[in-house]
Amino acid sequence: MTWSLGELEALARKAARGAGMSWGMAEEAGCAARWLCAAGLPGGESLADLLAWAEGRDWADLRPESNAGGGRWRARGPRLCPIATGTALCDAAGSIGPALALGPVAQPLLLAPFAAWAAEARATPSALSWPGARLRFGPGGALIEAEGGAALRARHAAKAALGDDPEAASGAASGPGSPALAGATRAEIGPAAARILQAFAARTYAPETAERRLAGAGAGLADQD
Amino acid sequence: MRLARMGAFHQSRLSFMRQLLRRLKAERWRFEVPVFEIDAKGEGHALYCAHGPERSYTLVAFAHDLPPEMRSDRVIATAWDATFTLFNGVPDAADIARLREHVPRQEAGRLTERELSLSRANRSTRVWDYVVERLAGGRQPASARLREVGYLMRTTAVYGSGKFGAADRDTIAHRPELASPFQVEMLSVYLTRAFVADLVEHMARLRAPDTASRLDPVLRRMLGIGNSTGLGMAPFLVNHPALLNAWISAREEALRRVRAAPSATSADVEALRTLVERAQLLVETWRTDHPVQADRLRGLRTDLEAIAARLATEGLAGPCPWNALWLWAEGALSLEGQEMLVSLMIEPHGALVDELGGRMAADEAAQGRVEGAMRLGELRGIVEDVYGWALALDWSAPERSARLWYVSEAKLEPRLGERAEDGLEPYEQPLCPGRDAALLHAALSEAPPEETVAAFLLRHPEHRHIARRAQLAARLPYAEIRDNTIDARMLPIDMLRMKLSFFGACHFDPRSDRWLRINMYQNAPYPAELAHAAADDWMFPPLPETLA
Repeated sequence: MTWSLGELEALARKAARGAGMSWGMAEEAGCAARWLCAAGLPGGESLADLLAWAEGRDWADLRPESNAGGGRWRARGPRLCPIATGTALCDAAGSIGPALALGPVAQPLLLAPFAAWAAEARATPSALSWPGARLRFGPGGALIEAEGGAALRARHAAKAALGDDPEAASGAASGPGSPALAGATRAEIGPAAARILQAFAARTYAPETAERRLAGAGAGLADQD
Repeated sequence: MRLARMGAFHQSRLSFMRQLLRRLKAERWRFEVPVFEIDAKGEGHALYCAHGPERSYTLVAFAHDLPPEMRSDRVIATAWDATFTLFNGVPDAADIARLREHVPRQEAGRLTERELSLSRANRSTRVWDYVVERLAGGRQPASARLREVGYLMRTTAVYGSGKFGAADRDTIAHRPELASPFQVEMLSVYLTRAFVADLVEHMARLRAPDTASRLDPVLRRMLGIGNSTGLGMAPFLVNHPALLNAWISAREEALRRVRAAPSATSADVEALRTLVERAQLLVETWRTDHPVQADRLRGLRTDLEAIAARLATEGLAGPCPWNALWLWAEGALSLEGQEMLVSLMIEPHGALVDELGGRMAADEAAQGRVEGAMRLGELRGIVEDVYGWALALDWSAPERSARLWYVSEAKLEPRLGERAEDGLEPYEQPLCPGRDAALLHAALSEAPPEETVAAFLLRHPEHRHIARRAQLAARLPYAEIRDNTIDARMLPIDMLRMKLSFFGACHFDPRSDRWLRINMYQNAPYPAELAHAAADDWMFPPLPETLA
């Protein structure tokens, strides 16, 4: 079974919210998971693993302590959340400079969509790397190379780097912001990851009661006319 | 853009049904029914193919024998009289076999990339058996009785855009015929109406092959396809601000163009006079038991009389006569009347406004990123500009935030609850931009105005969603509803009606403050008639003398 990208995005957004992210951050998580799946990369699995790892932790401890350019971004807690980190680097895309070091970071693959959007915002080709893996983005933000095999799915990286990559300029022909590698129109999520995401998403649903069923949607039950 | 005005909108030339039929006609789409296999119990399937210049689409319709006690037009129903999907292309036998396993189960089934929509419909128990019986006996149903209902079947949810596994809109939005919003859903419903009219005749024929009549073409035309819409539609407008902006901008621009016309001819006066008369016919057949809507309809009747009287005495004389008419209406008519006048003024100006229909889609992904480099002083100015109405409210008063939107674990449908109810608040959805903007404004008041939005949101991720909306609304003037969507007095049907009017629906009939029924495609030519009939003159009933 495959999922539509819209379904995957909605599931990812709800799961992130269910795991305690703010609504705005959950929207970012949904967009990021969708971007990865559209690139043929395991966005659903990465997010599921992130949310499971972060369970019981405070998201405020997992965001970058500062988004100033130049230095190394770290979290107060054990690892950076890639959603909060990616969001911060997109927000600060205009001021982060040509090279940024960050880490330790959980699920570094989830940084990729944000690196793409930052490349698009800065109109500058760039590369995102961590031990064993490298992704390169054209100036329009298109993903033009993803190498690393299993390392792409690293659960965490002690250090990741994002930097300008003039050689990636050949990706300019690809559409802005759109992953150019696989161009998948469907999302594949393994059953275990889907169950994790669905369980987190379910936390956003109010339990059903008879009163709520009758009052909430405002209609009677019969349709006899 | 207040909720009360949105809740008074009517269909117009820009409505999505009308865009669809204009295209089908102009591009000479061909229609055929290659399969219609439905037995005397009413079970089976049928295929309705629409062939355009480049591609074909097929409505796959399954008919079911539904026990009366299972008939519910709540979205939480689990069985229906008929179920549908719009298939991309023409399905083969294997596709039909697969769809037969999934489409009748609706939300519990699973679609693929080959399917574009999922929907269902129930018979109107008020008229279905009556019509079958009359036709089987070789007689026609009484026109007045049909008009009372206006349709033979009523749809509930019509899902598109990647729901339940169907193709994402992104994969089809580049096609010219699907570029405007909701063209998949509108085509699906248009073909559904044809299926329903064919089915009622078919059932009469099966019951009495020797005596059965077909429906009189005039009666057939009068039948639209019903729809029952609940709360699920309301959050859409809040969740798609760029799209909302595109719709309202197109309508506002159409009105602006008509108002800017320097003069009018006697033919214009006659065209508008005729339209007013036809709108009066529409209102005469518009049934509702809802006290608020019934009151509004009384106002609308008075308004149409006032418009007719003004046309009779003053015509459209003087400089910029359309503008003068509009300025008069703003002071003289109710909101229902004003918004009807917008539709009537736009109606004779197809050459001036129809191209605006092509501007009603929105690239929502392109609107998504936060502008992190913006300074907080500027963001605060935007919040005060866009949400000034919300900052003026006393949010500590319970009635200002009496409601909350939540999603129930049953069927995962949006609902509206009372904040006071125990245990509900943790499930609140972010569907109250006004309140959230007030919270953001308070936080901004404590932060240095020179700080960047990026730095602020790093500390305050809880304000991220509303900061993004505010920045978007600063670029897109109609992106945000300027009203409180969680107020104790808020009427969700205002949001539903606004969206349905853009679809092209009419006969809005609220069944409560959060649920309403409508009619779609009433008086429109059927697919088989489209080549020889006017495709775009059906929104108001024809005058009696033109019914030959």
